[in-house]
Amino acid sequence: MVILMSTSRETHPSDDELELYSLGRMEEGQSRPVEEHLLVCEDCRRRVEEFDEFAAAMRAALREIEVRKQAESWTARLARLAAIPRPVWAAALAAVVALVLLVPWQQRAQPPFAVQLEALRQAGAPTAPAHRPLLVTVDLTGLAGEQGYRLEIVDAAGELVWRGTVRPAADNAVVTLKGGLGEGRYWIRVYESGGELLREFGLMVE
Amino acid sequence: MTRDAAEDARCGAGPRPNGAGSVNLAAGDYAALAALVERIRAGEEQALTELYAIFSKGIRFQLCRQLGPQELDDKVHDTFLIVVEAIRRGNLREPERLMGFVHTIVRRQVAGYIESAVNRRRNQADLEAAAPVADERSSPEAQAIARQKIELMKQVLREISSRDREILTRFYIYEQSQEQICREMKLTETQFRLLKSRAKARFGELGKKRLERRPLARFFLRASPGRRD
Repeated sequence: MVILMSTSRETHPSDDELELYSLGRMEEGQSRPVEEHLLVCEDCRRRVEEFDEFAAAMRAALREIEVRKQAESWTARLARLAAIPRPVWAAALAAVVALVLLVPWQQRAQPPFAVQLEALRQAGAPTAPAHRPLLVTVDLTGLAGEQGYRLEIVDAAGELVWRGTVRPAADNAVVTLKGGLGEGRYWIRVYESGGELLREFGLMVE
Repeated sequence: MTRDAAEDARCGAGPRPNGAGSVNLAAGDYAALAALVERIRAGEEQALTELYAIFSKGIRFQLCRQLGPQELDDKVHDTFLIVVEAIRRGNLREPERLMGFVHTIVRRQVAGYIESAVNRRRNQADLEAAAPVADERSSPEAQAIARQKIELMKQVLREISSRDREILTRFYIYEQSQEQICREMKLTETQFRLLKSRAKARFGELGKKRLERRPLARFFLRASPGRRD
């Protein structure tokens, strides 16, 4: 019966190494000995999983704090504006009117961000910037035969965000989302006319 | 060898038989693995059980990290069979290098699965039905646990200075290296490590407190079966 005898903590990869491995930021030459070690070391596998969980929570928390900070800074700015005298307000109002007229023009001028959704299992969903027009190309390869497909976009909670019918062209269907999407994870589902779910793609909007 | 014994298996101090790139093991471990290889070559069934007990969890871990949880049992089984066949055919010329050999086969398997996925994608137009696409969503339980962890982390981050938050943001969000962060933020490596380890310790401490306050949480929020090894 083979039981590996080595128990010295000194020769396990360091926490720094395990964390870099967990974050996928290790060079090929560095990762090999770590991966060999992980083949037989339950302790270090558990450590890597802990680092995975910590990093995932850290990233999500930092992003949420950043978003909230930005929102708070806007509220504070508005409060300061309220204390400004009337003539200045008039000028500001004029500026706002100009802004209101300019924003739609700017949105139209902003080129849409192209997102390619492929029918291939991949490690992570494609990412797209938030609140920017999106040009989503959905891969329909292998689904030939239908005149049109129903497309639904739902958020992480399963709430419907967008629904429409698309016509395939050259194994793809292209959808333009003029208003873009807010931050979060989305699922793009392709249904046949009969209502059967044919495909589902993930999309991360950051 | 029992499953528990395999779980207790460790790598430790010892000479590297082939220099850089090898994992550290005690000298006795290399001899034990070499002996195990010889027993497999001799056709001993018990040796296969022991080999499986030593490597199956590690193989599963690496395949799952790189390919995802789909059909994991089959992939582990296939990889194990390839390892055994290769050993029986005498492809492992240095038995003490068993660990590196298994690692190489796992790497090849990963590359093979990725290549076949690419080919399947390329040939998909010829198929009558599209290949099913895996549902990557986690279960509601897992989502609840993840949400709870994010809230705990936000609490940790609220307790530290904005400078410390910037350091963590640079490392975890902008993926800057430790060296770059230390240089630009005028930190020593020790200060950088200390900040990270304090954040981790506080995160763990808060998580523990949360569980203590809600004794049933551990029961209700256990991981879904089938999602982990």
